[in-house]
Amino acid sequence: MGLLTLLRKLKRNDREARLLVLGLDNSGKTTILKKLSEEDITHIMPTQGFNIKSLMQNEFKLNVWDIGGQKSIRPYWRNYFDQTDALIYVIDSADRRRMEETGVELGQLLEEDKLAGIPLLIFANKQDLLNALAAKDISKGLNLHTIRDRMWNIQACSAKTGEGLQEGMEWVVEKIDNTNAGAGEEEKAA
Amino acid sequence: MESKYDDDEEEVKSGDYGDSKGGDEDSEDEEAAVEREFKALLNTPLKGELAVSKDPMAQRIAEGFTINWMNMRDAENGEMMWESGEWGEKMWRKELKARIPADILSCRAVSREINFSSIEKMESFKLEQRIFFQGVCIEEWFFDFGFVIPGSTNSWQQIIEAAEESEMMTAEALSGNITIETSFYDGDYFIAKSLVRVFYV
Repeated sequence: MGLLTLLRKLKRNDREARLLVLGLDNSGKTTILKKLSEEDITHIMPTQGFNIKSLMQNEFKLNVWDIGGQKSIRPYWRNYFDQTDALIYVIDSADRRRMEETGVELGQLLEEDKLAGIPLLIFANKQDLLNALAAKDISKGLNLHTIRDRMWNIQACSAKTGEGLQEGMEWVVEKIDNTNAGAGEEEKAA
Repeated sequence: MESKYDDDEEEVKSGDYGDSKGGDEDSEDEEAAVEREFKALLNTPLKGELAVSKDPMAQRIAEGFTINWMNMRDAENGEMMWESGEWGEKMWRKELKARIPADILSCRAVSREINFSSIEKMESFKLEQRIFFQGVCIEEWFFDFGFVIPGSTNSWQQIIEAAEESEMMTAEALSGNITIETSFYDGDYFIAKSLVRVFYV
């Protein structure tokens, strides 16, 4: 389990990949990344900037950027879009009150030129909570089926128990692995 | 805040980064400067160097820049092997000592994490990390953060797969002879540098 294990399975070498993790505040972005590294998740504070994980193995570097989700920080998200290979969007499945807000933020991200065409993984987090919406209900509520300009996937998960995290990350890594193995037809706006 | 620059610790040597960088000198001079810096680096004795920029703009950034803590973990199981504690500004005024269980050398992967805050906005923040063994640079890492949000607290965690066991030096040979130097820049402007000497116990 964990990002390192995934990285070891990658076929390619001598490359760098960048994952961007976004979502509203308190959706569990930092907790997911900590859990993937088997780290203690009992004292996580709201992220007031970015947390970066750089994994290096066999000349291959994976950089995972987790940016704070508070309203005051969101205007800065765009500063971190460059060269992103995949977007991971985290949703608190139990935060029904802010489901619309998270949908609006996601919608805006999907319209960003710099993020055009890159694979999108949505983590429907906090499935351990009783009032959590199922991934398929979130999918319906946010009209995810209308996304046609990229590969996307929604994965139910619990950062607390670890359930679903590995599956989600495997999907992402596989997609960027495939995207980059193909011709570099996808041009990223500078 | 003011005292940061007044309490000259013995360990601190002010580098001339502010003078040599950032100007539009012609490339030959720059090359010579790089060459000089590189030679100086090679000749750095036992410990690395601690420094604070003399450039006013960089100093303003440096004044608002704090390394909050550092730690090292076994990256396989997330177990904490060393934590710096809350050193605050001293982090880049003094050499830190890390006493780490020698077991870490048998870890397949090790994590090093550094947490820092910046009052000022930065456009092209970057870090250079060099590992010295008896004063010789044996490993170096560069990382471009790019934009830094004003008033932000950020962290960089680096997870590195260990060298094959056969290439590994023993804890006795390494202990006290390894220093980890982490330097921060905004573009060409040097901001701050921290230094950790590693002991394996």
